[in-house]
Amino acid sequence: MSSKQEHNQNKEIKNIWWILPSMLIIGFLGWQVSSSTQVSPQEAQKFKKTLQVGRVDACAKNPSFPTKSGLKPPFFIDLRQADGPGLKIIEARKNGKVLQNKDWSKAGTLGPYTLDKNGVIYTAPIPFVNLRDRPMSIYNQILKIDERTGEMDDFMHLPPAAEPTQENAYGIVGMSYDCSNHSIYVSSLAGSGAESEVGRIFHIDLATKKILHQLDGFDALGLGVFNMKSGKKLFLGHARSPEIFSIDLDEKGDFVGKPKFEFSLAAMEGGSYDNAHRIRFLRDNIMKIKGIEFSFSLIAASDPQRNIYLFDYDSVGDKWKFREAHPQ
Amino acid sequence: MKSLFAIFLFLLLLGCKTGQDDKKSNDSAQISPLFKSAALLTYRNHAKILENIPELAEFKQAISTALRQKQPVILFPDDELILRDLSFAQAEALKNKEFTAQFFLPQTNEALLNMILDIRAPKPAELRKNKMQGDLVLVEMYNFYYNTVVHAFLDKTTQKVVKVSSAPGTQPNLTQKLKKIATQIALAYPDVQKQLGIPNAQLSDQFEVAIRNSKSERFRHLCAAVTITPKGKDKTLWVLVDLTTLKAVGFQWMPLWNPNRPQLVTERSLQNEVVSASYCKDTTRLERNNWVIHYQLTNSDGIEVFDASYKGNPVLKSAKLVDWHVSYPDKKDFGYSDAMGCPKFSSAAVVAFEPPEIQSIMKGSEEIGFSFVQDFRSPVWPKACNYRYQNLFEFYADGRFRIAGVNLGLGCSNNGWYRPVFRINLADKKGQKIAAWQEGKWKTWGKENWIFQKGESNFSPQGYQFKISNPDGSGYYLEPNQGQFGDHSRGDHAYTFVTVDHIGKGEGENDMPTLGPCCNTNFEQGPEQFLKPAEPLNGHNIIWYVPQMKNSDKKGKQYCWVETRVEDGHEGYQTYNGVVGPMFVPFP
Repeated sequence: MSSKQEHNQNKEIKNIWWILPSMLIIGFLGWQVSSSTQVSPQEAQKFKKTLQVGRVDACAKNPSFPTKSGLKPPFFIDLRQADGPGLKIIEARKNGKVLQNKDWSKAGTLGPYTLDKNGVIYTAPIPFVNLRDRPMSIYNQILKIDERTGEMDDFMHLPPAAEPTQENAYGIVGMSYDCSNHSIYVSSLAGSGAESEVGRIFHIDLATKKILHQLDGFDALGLGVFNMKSGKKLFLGHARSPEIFSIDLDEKGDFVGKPKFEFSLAAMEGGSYDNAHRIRFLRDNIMKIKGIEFSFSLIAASDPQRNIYLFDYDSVGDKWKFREAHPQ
Repeated sequence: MKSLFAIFLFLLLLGCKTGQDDKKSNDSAQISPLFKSAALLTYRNHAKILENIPELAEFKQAISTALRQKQPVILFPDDELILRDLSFAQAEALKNKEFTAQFFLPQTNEALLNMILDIRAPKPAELRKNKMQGDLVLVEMYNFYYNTVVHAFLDKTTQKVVKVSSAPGTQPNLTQKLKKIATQIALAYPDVQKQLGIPNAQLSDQFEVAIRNSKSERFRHLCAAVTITPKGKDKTLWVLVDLTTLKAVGFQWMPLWNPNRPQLVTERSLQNEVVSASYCKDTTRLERNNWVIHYQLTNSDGIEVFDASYKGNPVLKSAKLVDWHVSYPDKKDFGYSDAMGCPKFSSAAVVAFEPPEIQSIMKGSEEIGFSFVQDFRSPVWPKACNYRYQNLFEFYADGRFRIAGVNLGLGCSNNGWYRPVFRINLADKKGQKIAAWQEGKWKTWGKENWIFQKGESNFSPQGYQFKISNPDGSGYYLEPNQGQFGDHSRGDHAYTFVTVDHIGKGEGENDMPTLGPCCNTNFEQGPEQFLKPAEPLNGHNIIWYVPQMKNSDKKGKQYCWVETRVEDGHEGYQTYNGVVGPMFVPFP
């Protein structure tokens, strides 16, 4: 046997003492989730009747600080890291002005973001190209940008299922706002590995920073909430496959049951073996999915190959109908 | 409480099982369950395997003819046109300038290959996307160079083109003729025949064959998935066929097709699965030309060669390339510290798509050793700011070996500097000494130290920079590359660091995330941190070797560069490899 294998075996023996308690904790959490919210059929029916079909983040608005800094709306939030790290706000026109506070670039490369009804931006750091500049623990932290001043602050740290490793440095990768209760859904891949899917999805009250609900054992990349005829659903882009799942939400936003398979991006005409990186709902009830290559390595960060998938909501059949796929 | 105990017991059993599985996997390198069910057909002699397929030869002839025509296009097969009244459409579409706009490369006027793959009524989604209505016919053409589908919509009444649209990166419908060729290519491979248990390329009626959609996300080629299901079995063999380069990519056994939850194999999914399962999880042992080596892909240090011995004597504990530092001096602090590694679950940004390639090194007709190359790429190399690197090892039957790195461009500009960081741990017998050629003689280093290759003054008359000696009188010279190895290299210009091997202190015996910053132009490339303060050398040394290369796109002097070119009407590449790395020469 080669020295590499001997070395690995020794490491296994050393590690077993912490693996068992960790597995016990993970297993217990999994058990907790499997006994998720029990809502009576009458209550569920009543809730569904109150829902208006459509997106749930329509109240989200732009912050006011870009206008104060001389930018003319419309503008967009740029997280492509094309000319150095950090968030930028850019006027949506040719040669539009660019705004980047010093604090924002100091935070390094950022990944997901969402806006709330007040214009506050929530975002999170992601690893980019290498792991040199920042400790891996930073990737499970939510940052907040004040809507008036543009100042960036820590908002909260989320509890990882396990410590990040070189095998998977990713933490928070998806965010989605819900106007109905001023809350966000956040997905984290922290602790997941080649052999263990221990990702978490958190439902967080923005006013109190309280984790209201938590779903364990699912690695989700993009997230998006939509009210369908059959109820409110959180759509999940699976980080380990090109599949899209959904999970029912009750009136408090808690998870009901388990994630259900919806469709595969790879199976769509013109589709690739893409992972759903962003899930957004547009006006006219269109689901827009941005697909990228994601394999828990750092290549996704520098990969300019993105595909857009569009789906139309069929209100009669209460389902999503594929419209088209094209490169971004 | 009972349920908690049950969970604990379950987890305990699970833990035990995992340990056993890992051990099993290590003992049976290269035959993990996934490897048995999926493989890449890279480095096969494709031309030889496919030489007896008449339809393929005919198709190649059609390509060659098309590329010499006024319009480089292969027409839709007459016998596949179901509705004869649509026959006007192809001729009419080919008169349209917009439809034929991509027939030639604008810069050179070289012919690009196109093929009409369908003539039919448009689908409702196509009409809606293009805001069209009426009694229309659609002509679908594929451009092999741009990997683009072009549609011409024609009015049936006026028989004129009313709209042209193109969809880059999408796959067209395939003609029956192409489907047949894809199937024949798939079945020609002995590896595929073995999987199906058939003695030749002929399938009996005990198999069901279907062509399914797939995609070539990385090479951006026309791709078909030939799926073959043995009747009565619960699995299907997917064979991916590249219809641009006309060869099979690989195969994977999958569950039976489930329309409610379709699971597809694409080029990307197949490459990631096979490379991860076979080369990231398992160690491979290779015995050849008096050498035994072991290798394994790492998370972020490229491919590591370890426990290498020559004629039974240990030579190399470990050799790997931990970082590529890329900087662009015309843009302050702009660059990357790139790590190479596994395609899945790694901290690498430039990853392995394919297995290592092992080839004979010949001197005339005599095999004098073997080379071992592992390729790593950004996903859409050679587009701008995408990179391609290689680990290159050469092992010679006379005991010499070379540890090298190869840069194949393209990067972000023509003013890029590349500084790969090698970590080399030679096998040592207690008391190994290291001497550098300084001031005309071998000077033994007593403490950790570094040196820059300033030129002749650092090299012995034989061209050696270091002498690494064991107490028994054996050892190796380190011979830097000055362009003498016949690979068009422009030299190493390296910084070399010698440090004490501190096992267990995170100095690189395990994977190193990233060692140094991208953009330093001096000796501060990362290894200097291990010689602060400089300790006495104790006979167990690590050599850190950091060569430097500058790229160039100047005609005739290209280096660390790649140019896109037309190859049989599709996209091809001319690479200008930059190679760095020293040779180790044994003595006495």
